[in-house]
Amino acid sequence: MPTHTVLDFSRWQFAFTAAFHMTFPAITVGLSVFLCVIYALYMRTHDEMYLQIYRFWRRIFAVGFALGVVSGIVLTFQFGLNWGSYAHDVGPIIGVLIGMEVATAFFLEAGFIGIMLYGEGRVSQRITMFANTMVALGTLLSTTWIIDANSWMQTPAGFKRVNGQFEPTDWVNVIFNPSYLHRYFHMLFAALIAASWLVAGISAFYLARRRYPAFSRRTFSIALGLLAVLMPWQLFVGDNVGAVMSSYQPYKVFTWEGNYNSDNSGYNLLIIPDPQAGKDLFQITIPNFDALFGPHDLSGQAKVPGINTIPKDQRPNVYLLFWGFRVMFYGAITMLATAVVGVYLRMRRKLYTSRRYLRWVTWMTPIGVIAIIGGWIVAEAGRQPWVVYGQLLTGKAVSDLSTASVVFSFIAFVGLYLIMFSLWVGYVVRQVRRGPDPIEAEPSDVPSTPNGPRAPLAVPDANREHVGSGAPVSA
Amino acid sequence: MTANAWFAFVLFGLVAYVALDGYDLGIGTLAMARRRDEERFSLLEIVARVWDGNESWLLLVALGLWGGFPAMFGGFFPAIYIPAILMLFSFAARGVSIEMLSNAGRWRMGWGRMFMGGSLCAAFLQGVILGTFVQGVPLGPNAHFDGGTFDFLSGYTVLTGLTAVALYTLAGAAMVKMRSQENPLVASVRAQGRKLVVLAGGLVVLSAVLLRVAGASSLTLDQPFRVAVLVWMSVAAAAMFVTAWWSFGRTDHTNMAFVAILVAEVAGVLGLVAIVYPMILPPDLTIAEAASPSSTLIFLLAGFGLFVPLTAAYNLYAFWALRTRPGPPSLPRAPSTVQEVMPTPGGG
Repeated sequence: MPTHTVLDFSRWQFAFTAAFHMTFPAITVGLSVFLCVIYALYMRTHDEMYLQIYRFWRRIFAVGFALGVVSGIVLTFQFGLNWGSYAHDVGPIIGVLIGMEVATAFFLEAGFIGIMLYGEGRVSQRITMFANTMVALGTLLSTTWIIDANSWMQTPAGFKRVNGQFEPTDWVNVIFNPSYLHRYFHMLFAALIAASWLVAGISAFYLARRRYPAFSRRTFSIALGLLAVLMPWQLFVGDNVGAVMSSYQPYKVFTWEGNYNSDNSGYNLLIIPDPQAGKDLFQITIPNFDALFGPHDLSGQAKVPGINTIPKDQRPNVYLLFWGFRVMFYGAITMLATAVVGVYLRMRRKLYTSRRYLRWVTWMTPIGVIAIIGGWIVAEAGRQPWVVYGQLLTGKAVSDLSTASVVFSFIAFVGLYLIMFSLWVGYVVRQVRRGPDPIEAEPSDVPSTPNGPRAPLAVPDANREHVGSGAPVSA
Repeated sequence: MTANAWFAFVLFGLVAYVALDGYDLGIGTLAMARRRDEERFSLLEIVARVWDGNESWLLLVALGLWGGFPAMFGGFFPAIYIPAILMLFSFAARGVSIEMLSNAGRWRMGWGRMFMGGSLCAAFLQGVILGTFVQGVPLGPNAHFDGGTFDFLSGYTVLTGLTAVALYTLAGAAMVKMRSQENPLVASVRAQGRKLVVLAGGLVVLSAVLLRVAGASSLTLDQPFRVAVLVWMSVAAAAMFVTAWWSFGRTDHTNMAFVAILVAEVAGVLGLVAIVYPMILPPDLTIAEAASPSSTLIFLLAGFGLFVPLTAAYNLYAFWALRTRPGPPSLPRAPSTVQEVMPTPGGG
């Protein structure tokens, strides 16, 4: 039998490698859509500003995509390496759903990313556009299947157990399991939002320093416009996910609300729990608000049951759940508020000039990614002690490995990934410092003026700003 | 029936992976023999456009096993924990360094070492994993792995590791010839290719002969049909190695060496199947025992049957589209200026 240490380190390793992996899809799914839209605008308007935007963000996209690929392969292998018993039992279902991701999405992205990144000058604009679209479609399909597989683990359906192994009996029920569509849209919006904050934050950085004003106004405007539309929707969709979880995984919901006793109708802003004693040592609560957020009781009287109603051996980790949820939720409120202020400033025509706002948005650059990771901690830690909810315990899913090898791999993963992460951050910072490259000679079917006729925002300094500030292209 | 059909499909994925990522990793080791940065960079550029697509086929194999033969996936992978984890590290280091180098637009030794070392280690570890497979992994009750951490390590698996490195490097050399016009770099790679044919051929023969010892407990050659397949596959592989040797001596027939090595790899995989079938994990686990229920296999066959031809089509298209020469010099330069394989100093 695997030891407790093997189980714990396998769990930590999976959590760590999954969170590392998630950072990159969180950015590249949205960026691929963004790049697609920008290139379409370029083809429509022939405004070279869009080409400049496209090439700049493509540089950041490319490396993020590569990191997403390699860290994704790691996750797939880990299902077999560390979770051999899980792999054996759920293979007939999860193996297929993730397999469909590879067949439909992964190959699509991999097939066209080469054309997207290296095709300019070799293939026509139409084919570049087609490649952009296929890469974006690939990332969306990828999200589709991965969320499907994970949702099946949250709300399993359409199967029977034969000698412990899950056997699919109805694929429609497997694929459209009860939480799937809610969680899919929640993740899709989250990815678009995270990429929008990245674009908005870096544009704000340039605007605050008066670098590449024409370039960054365009991207700042697009990103904040998108955020103003998406943020309210995301809160609505997220609320639906919470409602689905209340009926299928109530213990998860009780735990993220953070009450031990069932007598609080207020919303806990902050708690310091004592899981041993079964009470909160300290809590700050807004009266009546949890009744509103949770059971949607406008009278504010409804009370969410407490953690003490959960059998002791089925309690998820309250620290991870409460704080994971708060990171996501407080992040969402901050994002919504910032987007709303953006709309107000735009109406006052101060969006590009309010230094305080620009500096604030610069700090918001990683917030979407952080909120996504918070959300995933809630989803995964809240499902414990089950790996397939109500069906397969995590403790029964782990491979019988030696303690030393799992400890070794965990430490090595932490070391390697921290190095890779800092290299990646360094790379993005260098790209931001270098700024967008000036547009040089163009194919003859495009007007050769730097600013197309439909570019009122591309004021004359769009030309001047490149002199000296854009680092020379290595040639 | 469905289980065998899916087994054939996974084999197809495995052949595609070896054929594609094999040359990809091999070019990484080939770069180690170059002295000039421009030459190394032009080798890297062959890999930069295709590596993630090629690596995808490994995912296809892993997931094909997981979905179709979960007992094999869940039983074999813990047995190769150490080599697989190290292979993943190599992939990670390699993927990052390829992107960093192609974004830098020129060779940098730090990233370059990661690229070359990652390629070498990944190739070696894949050979070790294959060696572990043919050596056999006994499973405990309910097809769960209960062996030791270092059971994978033996003289034989080190030999298969070295064989994989030689074979992949050979495929890399053939790809360099295929993807570029004749120039001093290609001429030198062709000369190396001839030596690699001899080296890889020798190691393959040695691995095959020692298999009788290493896999003695798990592999059988009792039926005449198995022997016949094995003999014919060996003849085919030998003929292909000779063809590759001949082709490396010439500047024309640019595709021949690569195709010959591809055919030899297919023959090798089929020969291996002739020995182990119907086992999917020697010595005990059969295809039928490891297979998923038929509802799963039918879904897999339908889903993948639909998408994999499409996949093959657009991967071929991408390969072809990026192969065409850049247009006239007035065209915009791509962010990382991709040149054909030519060691011109200004090429990077």
